[in-house]
Amino acid sequence: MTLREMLVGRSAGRSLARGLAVAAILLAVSQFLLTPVRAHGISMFPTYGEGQFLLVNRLAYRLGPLRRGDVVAITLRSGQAVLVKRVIALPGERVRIEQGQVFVNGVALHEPYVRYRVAWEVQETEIALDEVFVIGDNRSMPERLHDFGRANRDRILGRLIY
Amino acid sequence: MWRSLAAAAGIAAIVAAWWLWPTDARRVRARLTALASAVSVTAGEPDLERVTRLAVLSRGLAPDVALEPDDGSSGIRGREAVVALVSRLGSIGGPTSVGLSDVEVSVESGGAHAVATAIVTVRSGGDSVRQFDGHAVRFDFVKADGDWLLQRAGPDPVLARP
Repeated sequence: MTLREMLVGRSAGRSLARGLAVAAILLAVSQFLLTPVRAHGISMFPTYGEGQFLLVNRLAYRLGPLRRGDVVAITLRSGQAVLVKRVIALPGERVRIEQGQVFVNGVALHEPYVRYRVAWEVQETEIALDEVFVIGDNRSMPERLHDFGRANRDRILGRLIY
Repeated sequence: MWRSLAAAAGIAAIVAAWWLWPTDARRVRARLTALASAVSVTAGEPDLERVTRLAVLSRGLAPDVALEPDDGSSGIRGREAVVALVSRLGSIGGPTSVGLSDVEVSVESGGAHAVATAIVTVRSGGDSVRQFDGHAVRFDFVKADGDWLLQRAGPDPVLARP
Protein backbone atom coordinates (compact mmCIF):
# COMPACT_ATOMS: atom_id res chain seq x y z
CA MET A 1 0.00 0.00 0.00
CA THR A 2 1.35 3.40 -0.95
CA LEU A 3 1.50 6.43 1.34
CA ARG A 4 -1.18 8.06 -0.75
CA GLU A 5 -3.47 5.06 -0.30
CA MET A 6 -2.83 5.08 3.45
CA LEU A 7 -3.71 8.77 3.71
CA VAL A 8 -6.70 9.07 1.39
CA GLY A 9 -7.54 5.48 0.39
CA ARG A 10 -7.88 4.33 -3.18
CA SER A 11 -10.36 7.10 -3.89
CA ALA A 12 -10.05 10.48 -2.18
CA GLY A 13 -13.68 11.25 -3.01
CA ARG A 14 -14.93 8.09 -1.32
CA SER A 15 -12.69 8.74 1.71
CA LEU A 16 -14.10 12.24 2.00
CA ALA A 17 -17.65 10.89 1.78
CA ARG A 18 -16.87 8.24 4.40
CA GLY A 19 -15.37 10.89 6.70
CA LEU A 20 -18.41 13.13 6.34
CA ALA A 21 -20.73 10.17 6.98
CA VAL A 22 -18.84 9.24 10.16
CA ALA A 23 -18.93 12.88 11.33
CA ALA A 24 -22.69 13.04 10.65
CA ILE A 25 -23.27 9.81 12.59
CA LEU A 26 -21.21 11.05 15.55
CA LEU A 27 -23.10 14.36 15.52
CA ALA A 28 -26.46 12.58 15.43
CA VAL A 29 -25.44 10.24 18.28
CA SER A 30 -24.27 13.17 20.44
CA GLN A 31 -27.46 15.14 19.74
CA PHE A 32 -30.10 12.44 20.06
CA LEU A 33 -28.64 9.42 21.87
CA LEU A 34 -25.61 10.00 24.09
CA THR A 35 -24.91 13.66 24.80
CA PRO A 36 -21.65 14.59 26.54
CA VAL A 37 -22.06 17.14 29.34
CA ARG A 38 -19.85 18.48 32.08
CA ALA A 39 -20.48 18.63 35.84
CA HIS A 40 -20.23 22.22 37.08
CA GLY A 41 -19.57 23.17 40.66
CA ILE A 42 -19.39 20.84 43.61
CA SER A 43 -23.03 20.05 44.32
CA MET A 44 -22.72 16.43 43.10
CA PHE A 45 -19.59 15.68 45.11
CA PRO A 46 -18.46 12.97 45.85
CA THR A 47 -20.41 11.18 43.09
CA TYR A 48 -19.14 13.55 40.40
CA GLY A 49 -16.37 16.12 40.68
CA GLU A 50 -16.08 19.60 39.23
CA GLY A 51 -15.44 19.59 35.51
CA GLN A 52 -15.97 15.84 35.07
CA PHE A 53 -17.20 14.77 31.64
CA LEU A 54 -20.41 12.74 31.72
CA LEU A 55 -22.67 11.04 29.20
CA VAL A 56 -26.43 11.57 29.13
CA ASN A 57 -28.80 8.94 27.75
CA ARG A 58 -31.29 11.07 25.80
CA LEU A 59 -33.68 8.16 25.25
CA ALA A 60 -33.89 7.04 28.88
CA TYR A 61 -37.20 8.74 29.62
CA ARG A 62 -38.71 8.10 26.22
CA LEU A 63 -38.31 4.38 26.81
CA GLY A 64 -38.92 4.22 30.56
CA PRO A 65 -40.13 6.18 33.61
CA LEU A 66 -38.22 8.59 35.81
CA ARG A 67 -37.07 6.87 38.98
CA ARG A 68 -36.02 8.16 42.35
CA GLY A 69 -32.26 8.11 42.65
CA ASP A 70 -31.63 8.74 38.95
CA VAL A 71 -28.99 11.36 38.22
CA VAL A 72 -30.32 13.62 35.49
CA ALA A 73 -29.14 16.50 33.34
CA ILE A 74 -31.45 19.53 33.41
CA THR A 75 -31.28 22.20 30.74
CA LEU A 76 -31.39 25.95 31.21
CA ARG A 77 -33.86 28.18 29.40
CA SER A 78 -31.51 28.31 26.45
CA GLY A 79 -31.95 24.56 26.16
CA GLN A 80 -28.26 23.80 26.14
CA ALA A 81 -26.36 24.35 29.39
CA VAL A 82 -27.09 21.72 31.99
CA LEU A 83 -27.23 21.19 35.71
CA VAL A 84 -26.53 17.69 37.00
CA LYS A 85 -28.73 16.66 39.96
CA ARG A 86 -30.31 13.59 41.57
CA VAL A 87 -34.07 12.93 41.49
CA ILE A 88 -35.34 12.77 45.07
CA ALA A 89 -39.12 13.02 44.73
CA LEU A 90 -41.44 12.14 41.87
CA PRO A 91 -44.65 13.79 40.59
CA GLY A 92 -47.41 13.90 43.19
CA GLU A 93 -45.10 13.18 46.15
CA ARG A 94 -44.49 15.43 49.15
CA VAL A 95 -40.94 16.20 50.18
CA ARG A 96 -39.34 18.03 53.11
CA ILE A 97 -35.92 18.19 54.74
CA GLU A 98 -35.42 18.25 58.51
CA GLN A 99 -31.95 18.50 60.07
CA GLY A 100 -30.53 17.44 56.69
CA GLN A 101 -32.68 14.31 56.47
CA VAL A 102 -34.95 14.08 53.42
CA PHE A 103 -38.50 12.84 53.95
CA VAL A 104 -40.67 11.76 51.04
CA ASN A 105 -44.37 11.34 51.85
CA GLY A 106 -43.35 11.42 55.52
CA VAL A 107 -40.84 8.56 55.25
CA ALA A 108 -37.11 9.15 55.77
CA LEU A 109 -35.24 8.58 52.53
CA HIS A 110 -32.20 6.29 52.60
CA GLU A 111 -29.47 8.04 50.65
CA PRO A 112 -26.24 6.00 50.58
CA TYR A 113 -24.74 8.45 48.05
CA VAL A 114 -24.71 11.30 50.62
CA ARG A 115 -21.43 11.24 52.52
CA TYR A 116 -21.74 14.28 54.81
CA ARG A 117 -24.72 16.41 55.62
CA VAL A 118 -25.42 19.62 57.45
CA ALA A 119 -28.73 20.57 59.01
CA TRP A 120 -30.74 21.81 56.05
CA GLU A 121 -34.34 22.79 56.74
CA VAL A 122 -36.77 22.79 53.81
CA GLN A 123 -40.52 23.09 54.32
CA GLU A 124 -42.78 20.43 52.88
CA THR A 125 -43.81 20.88 49.29
CA GLU A 126 -45.92 18.82 46.93
CA ILE A 127 -44.46 18.03 43.56
CA ALA A 128 -46.72 18.85 40.60
CA LEU A 129 -47.50 16.19 38.01
CA ASP A 130 -45.12 17.75 35.49
CA GLU A 131 -42.24 18.20 37.94
CA VAL A 132 -39.64 16.29 39.94
CA PHE A 133 -37.63 17.38 42.97
CA VAL A 134 -33.86 17.29 42.53
CA ILE A 135 -30.85 17.88 44.79
CA GLY A 136 -27.13 17.34 44.46
CA ASP A 137 -25.35 14.71 46.55
CA ASN A 138 -23.16 17.24 48.35
CA ARG A 139 -25.17 18.14 51.46
CA SER A 140 -22.10 19.32 53.34
CA MET A 141 -22.37 22.76 51.76
CA PRO A 142 -24.68 25.50 53.04
CA GLU A 143 -28.23 25.17 51.78
CA ARG A 144 -28.27 28.66 50.23
CA LEU A 145 -25.23 27.89 48.09
CA HIS A 146 -26.70 24.67 46.73
CA ASP A 147 -28.99 24.85 43.70
CA PHE A 148 -31.90 22.48 44.28
CA GLY A 149 -35.69 22.35 44.01
CA ARG A 150 -38.50 21.46 41.64
CA ALA A 151 -37.60 20.97 38.00
CA ASN A 152 -40.03 20.84 35.13
CA ARG A 153 -39.87 17.46 33.38
CA ASP A 154 -39.59 19.20 30.03
CA ARG A 155 -36.19 20.49 31.11
CA ILE A 156 -34.79 17.03 31.80
CA LEU A 157 -32.41 16.15 29.02
CA GLY A 158 -31.88 12.55 30.08
CA ARG A 159 -30.32 10.20 32.60
CA LEU A 160 -26.61 10.10 33.27
CA ILE A 161 -25.06 6.77 32.43
CA TYR A 162 -21.53 7.72 33.43
CA MET B 1 -7.89 13.01 -6.66
CA TRP B 2 -6.80 16.66 -6.85
CA ARG B 3 -10.38 17.73 -7.42
CA SER B 4 -11.44 15.87 -4.27
CA LEU B 5 -8.65 17.41 -2.25
CA ALA B 6 -9.56 20.84 -3.57
CA ALA B 7 -13.18 20.21 -2.60
CA ALA B 8 -12.08 19.11 0.89
CA ALA B 9 -9.91 22.21 1.24
CA GLY B 10 -12.80 24.37 0.08
CA ILE B 11 -15.15 22.81 2.64
CA ALA B 12 -12.51 23.27 5.36
CA ALA B 13 -12.08 26.92 4.38
CA ILE B 14 -15.85 27.54 4.49
CA VAL B 15 -16.12 25.84 7.92
CA ALA B 16 -13.15 27.85 9.24
CA ALA B 17 -14.60 31.12 7.92
CA TRP B 18 -17.96 30.32 9.45
CA TRP B 19 -16.29 29.39 12.74
CA LEU B 20 -14.11 32.48 12.94
CA TRP B 21 -16.49 35.09 11.49
CA PRO B 22 -17.03 37.78 14.18
CA THR B 23 -20.81 37.64 14.56
CA ASP B 24 -22.66 39.58 17.26
CA ALA B 25 -23.13 36.37 19.23
CA ARG B 26 -19.38 35.76 19.25
CA ARG B 27 -18.73 39.37 20.28
CA VAL B 28 -21.15 38.99 23.19
CA ARG B 29 -19.48 35.73 24.18
CA ALA B 30 -16.05 37.36 24.08
CA ARG B 31 -17.33 40.29 26.15
CA LEU B 32 -18.78 37.93 28.75
CA THR B 33 -15.52 36.00 28.97
CA ALA B 34 -13.60 39.27 29.40
CA LEU B 35 -15.97 40.37 32.16
CA ALA B 36 -15.52 37.05 33.99
CA SER B 37 -11.76 37.55 33.84
CA ALA B 38 -12.17 41.15 35.01
CA VAL B 39 -13.94 40.10 38.20
CA SER B 40 -11.41 37.34 38.94
CA VAL B 41 -8.68 38.31 41.37
CA THR B 42 -5.26 36.63 41.43
CA ALA B 43 -3.21 36.22 44.60
CA GLY B 44 -0.87 39.16 45.25
CA GLU B 45 -2.24 41.10 42.30
CA PRO B 46 -0.07 44.13 41.48
CA ASP B 47 -1.77 47.55 41.50
CA LEU B 48 -1.24 48.09 37.77
CA GLU B 49 -2.88 44.75 36.98
CA ARG B 50 -5.80 45.61 39.22
CA VAL B 51 -6.30 48.99 37.55
CA THR B 52 -6.18 47.38 34.10
CA ARG B 53 -8.65 44.71 35.15
CA LEU B 54 -11.09 47.28 36.50
CA ALA B 55 -10.75 49.35 33.32
CA VAL B 56 -11.69 46.29 31.26
CA LEU B 57 -14.65 45.74 33.57
CA SER B 58 -15.80 49.35 33.31
CA ARG B 59 -15.57 49.29 29.49
CA GLY B 60 -17.88 46.28 29.37
CA LEU B 61 -20.67 47.68 31.55
CA ALA B 62 -23.61 49.85 30.53
CA PRO B 63 -23.95 53.03 32.64
CA ASP B 64 -27.19 51.69 34.16
CA VAL B 65 -25.96 48.12 34.69
CA ALA B 66 -27.84 46.17 37.37
CA LEU B 67 -26.66 43.12 39.28
CA GLU B 68 -29.61 41.35 40.81
CA PRO B 69 -28.84 38.64 43.37
CA ASP B 70 -31.24 35.80 44.11
CA ASP B 71 -31.74 36.69 47.78
CA GLY B 72 -34.51 39.20 47.07
CA SER B 73 -32.36 42.25 47.84
CA SER B 74 -32.31 45.22 45.49
CA GLY B 75 -28.83 44.41 44.24
CA ILE B 76 -26.37 46.90 42.81
CA ARG B 77 -27.08 49.47 40.13
CA GLY B 78 -24.77 51.69 38.15
CA ARG B 79 -21.38 51.16 36.53
CA GLU B 80 -19.44 53.00 39.24
CA ALA B 81 -21.09 51.03 42.05
CA VAL B 82 -20.27 47.71 40.37
CA VAL B 83 -16.66 48.66 39.70
CA ALA B 84 -16.30 49.88 43.29
CA LEU B 85 -17.66 46.57 44.59
CA VAL B 86 -15.36 44.49 42.41
CA SER B 87 -12.37 46.61 43.40
CA ARG B 88 -12.99 45.59 47.01
CA LEU B 89 -13.42 41.87 46.27
CA GLY B 90 -9.72 41.10 46.44
CA SER B 91 -9.31 42.57 49.90
CA ILE B 92 -12.51 40.94 51.19
CA GLY B 93 -12.40 37.44 49.77
CA GLY B 94 -8.80 37.03 48.66
CA PRO B 95 -8.07 35.42 45.30
CA THR B 96 -11.27 34.74 43.42
CA SER B 97 -11.79 32.93 40.17
CA VAL B 98 -15.04 33.21 38.23
CA GLY B 99 -15.60 30.56 35.57
CA LEU B 100 -18.23 30.36 32.86
CA SER B 101 -19.43 27.12 31.34
CA ASP B 102 -21.89 26.21 28.62
CA VAL B 103 -22.36 29.80 27.49
CA GLU B 104 -25.34 30.25 25.18
CA VAL B 105 -25.95 33.56 23.39
CA SER B 106 -29.02 34.66 21.49
CA VAL B 107 -29.16 38.00 19.72
CA GLU B 108 -32.65 39.42 19.46
CA SER B 109 -34.03 40.49 16.11
CA GLY B 110 -32.87 43.97 15.31
CA GLY B 111 -29.50 43.25 16.86
CA ALA B 112 -29.74 45.80 19.69
CA HIS B 113 -30.12 43.34 22.56
CA ALA B 114 -28.65 39.97 23.39
CA VAL B 115 -29.18 37.44 26.13
CA ALA B 116 -26.52 35.04 27.35
CA THR B 117 -26.98 32.22 29.81
CA ALA B 118 -24.17 30.35 31.50
CA ILE B 119 -23.31 28.20 34.48
CA VAL B 120 -21.18 30.36 36.74
CA THR B 121 -18.81 28.78 39.23
CA VAL B 122 -16.76 30.67 41.78
CA ARG B 123 -13.63 29.66 43.65
CA SER B 124 -12.34 31.89 46.36
CA GLY B 125 -9.83 31.96 49.16
CA GLY B 126 -6.08 31.66 49.38
CA ASP B 127 -4.68 28.72 51.29
CA SER B 128 -8.04 27.07 51.87
CA VAL B 129 -9.86 27.25 48.57
CA ARG B 130 -13.63 27.49 48.74
CA GLN B 131 -15.62 26.41 45.74
CA PHE B 132 -19.31 27.04 45.26
CA ASP B 133 -22.03 25.28 43.35
CA GLY B 134 -22.51 26.16 39.69
CA HIS B 135 -25.43 28.54 39.25
CA ALA B 136 -27.40 29.38 36.14
CA VAL B 137 -27.12 33.09 35.40
CA ARG B 138 -28.75 35.24 32.72
CA PHE B 139 -26.85 38.19 31.27
CA ASP B 140 -28.60 40.90 29.27
CA PHE B 141 -26.48 42.90 26.85
CA VAL B 142 -27.27 46.08 24.97
CA LYS B 143 -25.49 47.35 21.88
CA ALA B 144 -24.14 50.89 22.15
CA ASP B 145 -22.02 52.45 19.41
CA GLY B 146 -21.29 49.01 17.99
CA ASP B 147 -20.09 47.68 21.35
CA TRP B 148 -21.89 45.11 23.49
CA LEU B 149 -22.32 46.23 27.11
CA LEU B 150 -23.67 44.27 30.06
CA GLN B 151 -26.93 45.81 31.21
CA ARG B 152 -28.19 43.24 33.69
CA ALA B 153 -27.01 40.06 35.36
CA GLY B 154 -29.18 37.93 37.56
CA PRO B 155 -30.08 34.36 38.40
CA ASP B 156 -31.84 32.27 35.79
CA PRO B 157 -33.58 29.88 38.14
CA VAL B 158 -34.16 26.50 36.60
CA LEU B 159 -35.02 24.86 39.89
CA ALA B 160 -37.89 26.27 41.97
CA ARG B 161 -37.13 26.20 45.68
CA PRO B 162 -39.96 25.28 48.07
